[in-house]
Amino acid sequence: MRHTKLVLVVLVLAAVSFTGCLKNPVTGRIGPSWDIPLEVPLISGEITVQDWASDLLPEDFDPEQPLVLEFNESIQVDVTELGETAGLPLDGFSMEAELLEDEFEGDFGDIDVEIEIEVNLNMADFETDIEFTSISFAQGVLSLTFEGITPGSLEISSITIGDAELEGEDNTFIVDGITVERDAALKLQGTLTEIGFESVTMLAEFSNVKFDQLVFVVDEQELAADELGMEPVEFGIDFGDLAEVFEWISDMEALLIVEVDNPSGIPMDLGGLQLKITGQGGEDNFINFADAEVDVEGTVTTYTISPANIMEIFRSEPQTVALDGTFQVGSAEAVVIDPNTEITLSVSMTAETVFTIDYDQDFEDWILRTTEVAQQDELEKGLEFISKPALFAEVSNGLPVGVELWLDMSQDENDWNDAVSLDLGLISAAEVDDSGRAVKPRTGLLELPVNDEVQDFLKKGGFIRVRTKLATEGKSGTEQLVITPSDAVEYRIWAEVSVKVNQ
Amino acid sequence: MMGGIAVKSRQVLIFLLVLVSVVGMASAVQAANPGAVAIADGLEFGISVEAKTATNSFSYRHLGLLNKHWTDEQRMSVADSLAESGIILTAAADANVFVQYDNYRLSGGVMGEAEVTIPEKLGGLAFRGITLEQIEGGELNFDFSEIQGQGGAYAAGGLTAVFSVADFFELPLKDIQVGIAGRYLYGLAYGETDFNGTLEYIEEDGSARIISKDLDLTALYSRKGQGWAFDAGVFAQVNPKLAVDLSVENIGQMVWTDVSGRRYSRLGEWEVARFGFDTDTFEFDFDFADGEEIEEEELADQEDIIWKLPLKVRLGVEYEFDRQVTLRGNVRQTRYHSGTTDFGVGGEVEYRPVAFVPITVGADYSTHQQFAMDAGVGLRFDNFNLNLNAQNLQSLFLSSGKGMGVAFSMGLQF
Repeated sequence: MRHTKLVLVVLVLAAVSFTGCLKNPVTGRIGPSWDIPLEVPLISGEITVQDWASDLLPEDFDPEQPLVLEFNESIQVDVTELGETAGLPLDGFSMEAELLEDEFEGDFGDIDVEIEIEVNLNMADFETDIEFTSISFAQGVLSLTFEGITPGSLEISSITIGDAELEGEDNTFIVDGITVERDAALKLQGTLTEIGFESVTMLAEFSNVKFDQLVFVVDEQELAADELGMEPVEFGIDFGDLAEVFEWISDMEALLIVEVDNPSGIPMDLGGLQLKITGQGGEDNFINFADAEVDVEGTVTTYTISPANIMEIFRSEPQTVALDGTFQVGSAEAVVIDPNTEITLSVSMTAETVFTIDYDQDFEDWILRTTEVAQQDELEKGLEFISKPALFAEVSNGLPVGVELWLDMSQDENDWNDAVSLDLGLISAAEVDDSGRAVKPRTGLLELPVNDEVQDFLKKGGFIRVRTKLATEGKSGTEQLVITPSDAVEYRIWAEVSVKVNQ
Repeated sequence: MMGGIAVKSRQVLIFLLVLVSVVGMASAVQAANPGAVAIADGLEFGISVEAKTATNSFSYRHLGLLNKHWTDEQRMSVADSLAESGIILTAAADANVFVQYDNYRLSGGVMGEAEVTIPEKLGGLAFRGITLEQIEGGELNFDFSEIQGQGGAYAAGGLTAVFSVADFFELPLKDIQVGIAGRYLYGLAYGETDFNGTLEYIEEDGSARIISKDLDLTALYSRKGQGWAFDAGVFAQVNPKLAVDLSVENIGQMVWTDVSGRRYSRLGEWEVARFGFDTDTFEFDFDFADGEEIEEEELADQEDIIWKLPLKVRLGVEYEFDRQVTLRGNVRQTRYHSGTTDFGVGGEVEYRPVAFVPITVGADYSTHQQFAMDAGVGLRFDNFNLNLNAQNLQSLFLSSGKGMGVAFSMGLQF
């Protein structure tokens, strides 16, 4: 019997030791409790510089060489408008000459009938506002009117200008295809029904004209840029969240090339022009053609400028580029002008992303974005079955600059003074070679624990923003860095939660 | 957005328990070697109760964690104890009464048995959780067909006849008994599941997706069944110390009729859940399927379910070393309804520090269960016996074993 009791005691002790206490001391419930860790991938991807700058890359580029950003736009200027401004007779012109009676040749004996007359002149005898050497008409109408004689009493039926013979009626002649030299001989043939005048003033008016060519002296004059009739070139550059990166850069190599192809022959000097670059905020930055190196080849004049204010321009995110200032047209001597051409003005800005960062400067924070977060009504319920929620982001940084990041949480979108800030961590710059080019990415882990502060915020809702700042990582002085199109940032974001079991 | 998941943590535990409690018909309807039944001297009555449960996962060393909040190390220790071939949980209980007169025993009882199998990969999720590496490695795909469950309860009544045939043969044996038994089985309840389809947890475009393909769960049940089972065996007492027995048990089958059930299915590929993050709005994108498109179908007049009993052939030997020590061994082969065969061999030492307190230590190997150690303690009197037995699978040592089992039996006869 004593043994039976002993065995029973052993059995009871074994049962108690197997089951431990009657209740779980942590949960107060019967049975074990534990947390099941779950990692939930949320987003991942890779952004290369090439992807980001795809709209700005030249057609041909080497992804392993420094990134060259290129903005190209070109416009055409109608020579007609410029010509008119410069005094070209593109809408027609008139000439005037006085014909004395004794210059009329004919049989003046019988005044009762009309007599045939012939007048020999020289084009140089005509007075005109335009100073041309020759004009080649593609089309046009020459109308003659006479003053100092009874209208209709002098009818010119044939005109010979140089080698060209024109037949017409009612003193009107088609001038299509002829060339009028300023010193060409002019012979008028026709009929006259009235005599006894001393002189007749002949007005020759060329209308409905189109020219093949003018050999012309354009008066030297200064014109305002808007006389070119050039609409502002739309650049519409939007760097988005990355715009403020340019605040961190001290200097950058950039080149502005303005190419003017002027096959019209109108002499132009654009040295007084400026490019007015208007940024997203409406601010203007100017680039002076006067600072340019000028190269002329054929009809093409190239202005090459290294703008000193390139960083200001980039920071402004250029939206439009317009011509401003003045320019010179004209020449002392006659020039051959083809009014049927267009003047093409091409603006090309290239920026090579070899830049300098001064690590001694105070870097401003860069607000990546501000987002409203709705009140998370069900968070409380969700936290009943999960614990230790956290967000993680692993970033493999292939860029030669590093950043620190914070998450700010505020109830007021416009007041961040009392915001709760969480230090997310550091993304180190990639390892660079002597030229400042990234050669090996560095990986950083950012953690956003959904702690009590974050939970309180999520329960109320509000605004969050991601704030970043260039990470100096102990560097000082200036450092040259190079960005290449192949530089990439890989990232993946995941959530970690622990599912409570029996808690 | 965490809406739609209003599951409380306790429910998670309940879910896990439910998952492992899908009942299933297990290895053996109560059977024994009829040749080993002791011939009564006149009229005898008896009653017995037996219960046992076993799993090839977990371990006795984890019993101390039963009412604790686990550390990560403890949680992983539990996870590592899961059987790689799949978590198998079995439970069985029966209560029997018999009336025996000389060579004939009339017995009846009620029994229930259940077995559930869960693939280790799926069961391990509850302990190991999910890592990004698993997702990226494409490891999180689950074949539901690996989940199996059957279970049933039935009543049995039968007659056992045992005879001593030593007098008929001139063998150098102390005694030899031959026995046969027949049992009528009356089904009370039966259920089985047929689970098919796959579930995959993948990463796509940076977000996580849970994809199901051809989900098809059929649960069949019946409350009516009947069948027969026969056992035959020989028991030989070679000399006062050595005994040998050979038996063939569970020749027969049960037929479950009036089978009905319910089927839940959604064929094709569909998205169970998606987790993402919208970087433009800083919002989480959690989408859960609402389950409305899972077809639910009542199944009636299903085909009868024929369940062949696990046929077991066993050869055993027992040697009484001295007054306090008995050695036992057995070789056995069991052929299951599923067509699989389990070959096993085991040995046991029984030590009796006091004549009525047997303490046993044994080792067993079977192709299904691998290696197991067991130990038991009991009380054994002429009219009463009680045994408590514990089993530790796959290791000689409690600290490293995988799996455990406990069995309890009690008998009274007079």
